[in-house]
Amino acid sequence: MSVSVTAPAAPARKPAGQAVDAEVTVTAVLDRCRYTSRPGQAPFAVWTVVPADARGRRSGEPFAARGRLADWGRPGDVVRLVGRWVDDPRWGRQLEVEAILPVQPADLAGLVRWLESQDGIGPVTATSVVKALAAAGPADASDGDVLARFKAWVASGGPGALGLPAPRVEALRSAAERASADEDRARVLVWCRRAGLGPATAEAVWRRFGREALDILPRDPWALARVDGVGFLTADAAAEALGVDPASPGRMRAALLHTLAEAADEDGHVWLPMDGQDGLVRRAFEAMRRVAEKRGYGKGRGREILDGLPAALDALERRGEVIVVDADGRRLVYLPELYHAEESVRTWLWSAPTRPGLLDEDDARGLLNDPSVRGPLDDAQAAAALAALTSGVSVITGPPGVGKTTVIKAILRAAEAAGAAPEAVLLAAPTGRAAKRMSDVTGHPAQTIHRLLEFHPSLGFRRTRDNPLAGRLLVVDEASMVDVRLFAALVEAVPPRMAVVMVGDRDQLPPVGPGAPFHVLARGGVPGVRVAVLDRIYRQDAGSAIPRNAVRIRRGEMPERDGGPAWRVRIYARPDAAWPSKEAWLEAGRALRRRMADDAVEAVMALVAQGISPDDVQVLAPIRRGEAGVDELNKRLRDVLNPLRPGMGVWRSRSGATEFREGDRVIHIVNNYQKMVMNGEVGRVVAAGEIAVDGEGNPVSMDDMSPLALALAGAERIRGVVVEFPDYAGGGARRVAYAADEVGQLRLAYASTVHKFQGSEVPAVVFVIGMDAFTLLKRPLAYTAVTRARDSVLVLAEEGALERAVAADEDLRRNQRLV
Amino acid sequence: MTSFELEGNDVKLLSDIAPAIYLAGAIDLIDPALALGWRRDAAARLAGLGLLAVDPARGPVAGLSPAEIYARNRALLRSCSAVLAEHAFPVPHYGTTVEIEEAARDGLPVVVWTGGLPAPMYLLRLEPRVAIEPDFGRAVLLAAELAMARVGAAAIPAAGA
Repeated sequence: MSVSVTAPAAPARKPAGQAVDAEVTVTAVLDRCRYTSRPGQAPFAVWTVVPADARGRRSGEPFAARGRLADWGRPGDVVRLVGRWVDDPRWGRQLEVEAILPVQPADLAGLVRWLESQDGIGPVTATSVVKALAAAGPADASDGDVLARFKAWVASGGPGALGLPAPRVEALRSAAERASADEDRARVLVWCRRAGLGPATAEAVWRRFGREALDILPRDPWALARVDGVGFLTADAAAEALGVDPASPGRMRAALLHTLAEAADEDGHVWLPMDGQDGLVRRAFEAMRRVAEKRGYGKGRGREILDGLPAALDALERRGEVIVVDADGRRLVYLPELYHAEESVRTWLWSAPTRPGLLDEDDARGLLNDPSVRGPLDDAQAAAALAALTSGVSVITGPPGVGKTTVIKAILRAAEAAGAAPEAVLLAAPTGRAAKRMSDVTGHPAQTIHRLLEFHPSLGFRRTRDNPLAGRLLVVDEASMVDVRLFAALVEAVPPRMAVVMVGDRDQLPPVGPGAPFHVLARGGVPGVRVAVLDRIYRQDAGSAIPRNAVRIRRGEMPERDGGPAWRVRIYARPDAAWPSKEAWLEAGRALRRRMADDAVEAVMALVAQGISPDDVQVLAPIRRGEAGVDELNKRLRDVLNPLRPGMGVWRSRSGATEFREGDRVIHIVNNYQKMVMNGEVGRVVAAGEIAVDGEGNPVSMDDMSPLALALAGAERIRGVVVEFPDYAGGGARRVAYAADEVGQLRLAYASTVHKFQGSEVPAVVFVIGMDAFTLLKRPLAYTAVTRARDSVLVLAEEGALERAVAADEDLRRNQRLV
Repeated sequence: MTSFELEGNDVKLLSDIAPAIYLAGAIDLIDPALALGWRRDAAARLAGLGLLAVDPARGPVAGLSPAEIYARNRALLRSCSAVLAEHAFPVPHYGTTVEIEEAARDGLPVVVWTGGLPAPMYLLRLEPRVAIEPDFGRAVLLAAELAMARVGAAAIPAAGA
């Protein structure tokens, strides 16, 4: 055991209120709990503890230990506390505990007790084992030696030689493995502490790397960035805490990989050019320069770092961690996963002319001339249906209200009339909500793309090139939301004789994930891919103001200020007096946005007062931060829609910055394939604070189970939240538990960014758009926001913001190379 | 029963609006800078005329057999409205020869840019189904005009030529 057990001698006193001394590890007996936070609150406890000797016996004066930790143990337990001595002005000298480590047996007597506490080992077996060990070596072995002797004895077949029955032998083997794992875990947790990581992150590091953490991380602290929830910057801070050279090749490699991943996650780029102002090398250098400016890490080493980055990139290429491609006179750098995804999509697109359509031209025309098949289609819609029925790959694009679904229904009727079996026609959409809508409208079963491809959390997609989908026609709705990864998985599973129809709106924002394959297809110009553009709006009710104004935005025209009850735009102007003082001008803008946020809340409450369910109203904004940003809007909306009540379950983060209450509307913000919850799914918190989960992390109701019943069911109480999501496939609801370190995957959803909400639709939208989102004010943003509404839109815009968004015809350009 | 016509006023099939021109030429037995350079230049000029260049040299080949690549390129060629072929570099043009022959047989207009080199015998045999043009800019323009004529679109504007 490499963790030193420091004698708990009280260090010399330092001035009050000042944290003193370096990290210490104290072996102690938990004597009495003086304070512990209630379930649901951020964990915090104060204990009186008594120093213990190596054998776990009390051997000193009691002292106070405090810490933000949930599970300390029970009075009488012997533990090792890792922390620092502090002098609290009010409470005096205390040990600020940062980690609690298990204590291992110090001698053979301790080993008996330890063995007895292990599953499947009773006092008789424990005593026989210890006797055998004593016979084989010195009886007075101390410290960690006894455990090492026990493990060596198990490894050399000791339990078998003792003639113990098989279940006991197995229990002893498990105990030896657990002992090793406990030791390794303790070492990893201590290492993480030294690297400045908090307890939750340290646990996540242990889960991700296990015992290999100590081989990998000291050499390459930036490998921490592979842990969920740990980014390059955290890993970089850990490296700094450990005193690693800021110009080391490992750091440069990590910065390059981080930059590529960030460009994919945040900007949607599938690759970055190696060189140039917006190239990978420059971006990675800028990321490191920002660290130097902020924390001083690497300050004065800029030239060395910039010069070293190309060599680091070469090393990454040699190690297969990036793929570099020469194309169009430039060197393009990919993460391997994205390179392979893009290659799959490219190969499929290039094969489009070789793919047969469902029907030949004459048959399709004949069917579409039959009124019972053609239905209400106009000429443009019929042409779109004809293209879809006769092409191997086709696209139907247009804004809401132009009859895309009407065309899909006609395609299905034609396929049926042509004799295609119902199971030969597959319908799919990227989200459960869109798939449900597709099923409802067409009367034909539709499923999510993940379900269609038989996704399994650990096995991945089970429909692949080697096990392709069966059928003749695949229609994908909301295809503009499909990123290059999912697009690749989908087209790999499409057999050569299956025609594919992609339906979507090319003017919508590109997908949250990297790439935008549908946008490329729908722009036209991909050989063999027929693109039908529908733009005649058929809706004639009051709600027709929405598509009408959406089309105006798409054309770069300002929408109407007053388009009837379904469409209102309110512009907020600064008073002229705010100028010429710059500060007064900025403050006037902030005041304006605070008023916009007030009015957004008021508008929601007015709709609710009219009897509209709060779930049917969505507030949207371009960004999270700011006076009228999503975070502020969420706080205000929650205070009126779900105020704190006595007895309400509440989960709070340690810092208190994040809080979820029972009844909160939340959105899940990453794809979590373990929980099978996808980015953008909206649900409701049904339990918060203390929750119960079974062995697989699924929520268990605590209402009808006593603590004993919970234990018998293999369940445990943890801190976290349970969220209920609509189960579109099953028609009911499903509950998902989030432990404390997973709650970061949730955000409040009373208000949402436009991006996060892009696949959803609600009756009413309140769109709040301020000038502080200047760089994001682009036409697709405004278009996507207003087209999320079915019945009514209220736009609250700071003067100039909507004008800029409508005028900014810039593509939200993404680096991708499909054709 | 009423018949309906694809060419209704509201119909917009983008792929039918922008005629595509297949770029044939040496790929393997030639300096990549030459093989790709003229293709990029041609694609840029065609894009300026509102036309689409289909460049099989850009197509992914990993995991595909030669037969699959041939079938794909053949399908690409047939989906185009004209062919612009390079015979301007003194290297073997085995694949290009086959593509030009097939295009001519299918009735696709073909323009061969020779760069002033003597045209191979087989091309002379294919005249006048195949047009031979020594100048690159004129070859591109001619291919564009023939493609537009084939899809019945309006004549291309003189500007930007």
